[in-house]
Amino acid sequence: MTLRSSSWVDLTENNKRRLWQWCVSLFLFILCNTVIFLVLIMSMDEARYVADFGSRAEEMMMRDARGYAVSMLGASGFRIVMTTIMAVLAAFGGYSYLNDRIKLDFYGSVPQKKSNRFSTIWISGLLIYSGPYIFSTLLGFAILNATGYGAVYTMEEALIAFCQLLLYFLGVYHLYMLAMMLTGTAFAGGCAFLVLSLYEPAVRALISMLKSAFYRYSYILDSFYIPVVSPYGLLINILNPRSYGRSPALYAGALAVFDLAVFILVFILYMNRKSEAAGKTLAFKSTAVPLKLLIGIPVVTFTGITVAEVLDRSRELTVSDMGLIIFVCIIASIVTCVIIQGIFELDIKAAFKRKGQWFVCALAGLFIFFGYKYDLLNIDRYVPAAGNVESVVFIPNGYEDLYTWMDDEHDNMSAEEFGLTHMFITDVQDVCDLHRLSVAKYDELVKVIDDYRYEYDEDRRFSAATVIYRMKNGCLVPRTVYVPVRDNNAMYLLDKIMTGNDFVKGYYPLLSVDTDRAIDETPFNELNATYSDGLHTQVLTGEELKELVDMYKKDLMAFNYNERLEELPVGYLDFCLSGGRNLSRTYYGSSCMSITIYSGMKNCISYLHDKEYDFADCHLEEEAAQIIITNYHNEEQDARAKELGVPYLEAEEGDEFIRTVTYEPVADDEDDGMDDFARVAAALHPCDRGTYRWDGGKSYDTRYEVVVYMKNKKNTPYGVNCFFVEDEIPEFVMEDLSL
Amino acid sequence: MISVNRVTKEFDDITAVNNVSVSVEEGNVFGLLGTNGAGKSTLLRMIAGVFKPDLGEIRVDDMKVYDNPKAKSRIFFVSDTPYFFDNANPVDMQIYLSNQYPGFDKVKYAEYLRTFGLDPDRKINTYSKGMKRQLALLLGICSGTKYLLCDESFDGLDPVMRQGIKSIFAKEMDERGLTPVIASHNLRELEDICDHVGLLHRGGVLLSKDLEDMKLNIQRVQCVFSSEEDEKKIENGLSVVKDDKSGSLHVYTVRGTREETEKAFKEVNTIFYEVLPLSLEEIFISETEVAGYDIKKLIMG
Repeated sequence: MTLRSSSWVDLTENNKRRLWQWCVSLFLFILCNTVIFLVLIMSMDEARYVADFGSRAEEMMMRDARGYAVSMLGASGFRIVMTTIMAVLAAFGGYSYLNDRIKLDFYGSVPQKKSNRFSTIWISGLLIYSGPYIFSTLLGFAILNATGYGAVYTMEEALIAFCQLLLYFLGVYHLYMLAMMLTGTAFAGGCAFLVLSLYEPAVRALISMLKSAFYRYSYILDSFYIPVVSPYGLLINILNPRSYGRSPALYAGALAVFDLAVFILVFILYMNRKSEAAGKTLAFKSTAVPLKLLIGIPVVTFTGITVAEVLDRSRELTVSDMGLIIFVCIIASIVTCVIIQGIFELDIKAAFKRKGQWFVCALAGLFIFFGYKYDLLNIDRYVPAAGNVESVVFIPNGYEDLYTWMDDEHDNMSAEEFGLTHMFITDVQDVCDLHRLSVAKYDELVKVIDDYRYEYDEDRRFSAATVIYRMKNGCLVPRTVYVPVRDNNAMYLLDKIMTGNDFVKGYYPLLSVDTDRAIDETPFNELNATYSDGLHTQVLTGEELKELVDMYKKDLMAFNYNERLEELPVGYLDFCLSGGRNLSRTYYGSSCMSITIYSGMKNCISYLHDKEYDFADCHLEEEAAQIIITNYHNEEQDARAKELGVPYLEAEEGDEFIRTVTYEPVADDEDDGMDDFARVAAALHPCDRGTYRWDGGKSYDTRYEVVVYMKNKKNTPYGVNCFFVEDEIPEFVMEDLSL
Repeated sequence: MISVNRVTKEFDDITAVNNVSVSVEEGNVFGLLGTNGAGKSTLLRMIAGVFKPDLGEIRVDDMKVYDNPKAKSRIFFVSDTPYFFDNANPVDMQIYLSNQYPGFDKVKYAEYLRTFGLDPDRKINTYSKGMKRQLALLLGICSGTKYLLCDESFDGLDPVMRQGIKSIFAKEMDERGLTPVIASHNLRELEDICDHVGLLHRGGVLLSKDLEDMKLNIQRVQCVFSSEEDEKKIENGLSVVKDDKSGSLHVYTVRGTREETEKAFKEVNTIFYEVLPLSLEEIFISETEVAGYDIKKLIMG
């Protein structure tokens, strides 16, 4: 045997020195993970499942057992936390000797190559994590088999989860190693790890702040906040089946590349790290300047935006505002640089060295601040050329109110997430044209508002939409578009974009969900399916819900934007779906949906009519005891306030404009009040979904506040809001309420 | 042979070792003397391969030592603060080190532990400071390496133990040609053991000589001259390092052999002269005073 040819001996010896890390790993994976899993499985109560699901109880028990298995044996939040803890411990426990001069004397003098020592420690750390992990997973399978749930979770799934978590472990492990290689003390290493972990999210948050403050059309996707150069961010995307339109395998590959790249960097640093770095804040002097600039510049920019916020960012900055911002930013730069230098040198006097860097930080930070403030790169108004776009997601924000978007597992998701995974509008020219038109029109409006020349005009109405361009180069370009929905060109383009399966399938989630399965898998008492017209409510069974949803899907497939403009909501269907039980034994993934039924949805209307759930026999004039209508004449109040040069009228002056009329059924034929009451009741709509229309279509006249007091069994009235449709208000009502 | 050739090591703005060249011959006990901060420990760490020299080269048996296991296997470094694994006992240390040093003599180790009264099953963290130093030295001696680098290792040892360790050194040198390199700031600690001494100060080497040569080449002479002319003849004819005059009595420290010195004095008229031996301490005082240093302050402890 040559000099220490036996790596196994080195590995064994290294592991002997790391007994406490083995203990922690065994505690987490065996004691916590396996015992909790055993308790969860053993506590499943069959009687409760029978009560909740009847004949489907066994199936649901299997589903929940699978949920527990995924949580405890798969790549769940629980195991992610344990993996993070072990990665940090393995890195710290393995390489902390680099910070200890006494240990370095010992290990540095023994006849072992640095590279061998590095690899021995690295492998040992890997074993400390993966050994107990694999053992606990095997124990989990033994528990599943012993309790009759062996089929709910497969070895293949466990292996995939292990690979995912192993990639994540390596990412965190290497990141902490990198922090340790760059620093010379445990404290500095911990701080460096935090900086490496939090830097990208912090910078992303800063960019988000800048865009929100200074950009009008820029939109920030939720995915923007997920760091890319980070094991955490990449793991989120790997485990998210939606992955914002990208394949989880792509992210797994990216994480593997990240792990390898950081590993190579760590190895190079390890080989070049001098023993005398132990005890110093920074192991490599050359990292001091970049580190200071990387921290100092965002701090200065953050300071700039904070001051701008205080000064009110919405208005243009005056010269004195700018002076104040520049002054405070310079102070922030100096303070930051002094603090960082002080930490580097561990000396107050030395903290004031390198004054040139104060100004570099200040200049760069201010340049970024003013770059965003004045959009120097013209990013905000950028409209991609159609030729560079592969497909588009178009989300009219609030077109369908009270809607929940959900994935196949019924977990809630945002409209953008759903759109990115389901909507691929390839006729991008229309969207680009609409985008360009909208920017031009909205800029005109803003200019008018800025010049204090704006007067409300319903025909200049804008509705916000989120547009996400999928560029051919793989980038996503999200934008907020304020669409002039009453503009003829815009209406033409909207019809082209929204009347089409590409849009409908990507906007209406029920078209993509197996609703029959989802309804079957929801406990009876949690389904809560009802249909209501605003005044009356009908409880639906699971089967009725399935049938009505089927009708709804058929109606959606015949969706037409222009036809919908003339339709009014007649009622809404509410229901909740649940996914399974979580670790706290409550149902998770509960997605409550509220679907608006429009007058043009022939299949739904017909189904409801056949079931007599359309409340056709109910007549408001028979059910109502009193109708009170109020018109506040807000436009006239505003006009008066303008004349008087005040922002709004005082309460007493405003009261002069308020008109209220009460209509009641009157038996006396001499008075025609009975007819008026009936006519008013006939003109009213109880369904409150028509108060706001994104598309500017047929909607309620919100100038008239109508409260209808109903008769109940005890003849005690209670009030319900009802609405007049625009341009369909009885003339006598308008006269009664005129000034 | 350990060859240190024009080696420099800097820590930030401090030059710990400045262009040092020394050689450690096999079979000798090399004493590395110097004050705190003189660069002894840094030099030893570079020889042990813990530090990499910024400039220059260190070779052990003609092999570069830094990150070279083959060269390192010939060296055992006992640092000023020896490290032992947490909760380890002497046997645990032996198991680890015998894996690192193939020549580790387990039988001899057990024997030495018994001789020095160190319980092999007792946790090392319950040992006293002196016991830990003994253990570290025994581990180094038993590792079977050719060179044993000891950094202030005799501090904290009682005289009996110190003598015991020195005896083992002598035995090991006889039996297998062990070459100890002992760094200390205390000259008296090295006086009776070292064959060759290197004196470091402020990162540089003030001198590096065989003790025997130094003793032979410097003399102290007490004399009273008959005339000023005779006095001038001696001062011009000999390499006078120092002249302490008290009335007409001169006490010269001069370079040269005893014979050369006596011959020079015989050629002039003196009322009285006597050539006296110098202690190692006095030799160092003389050598370093020439360089402008007060050795008493530097290394006498």
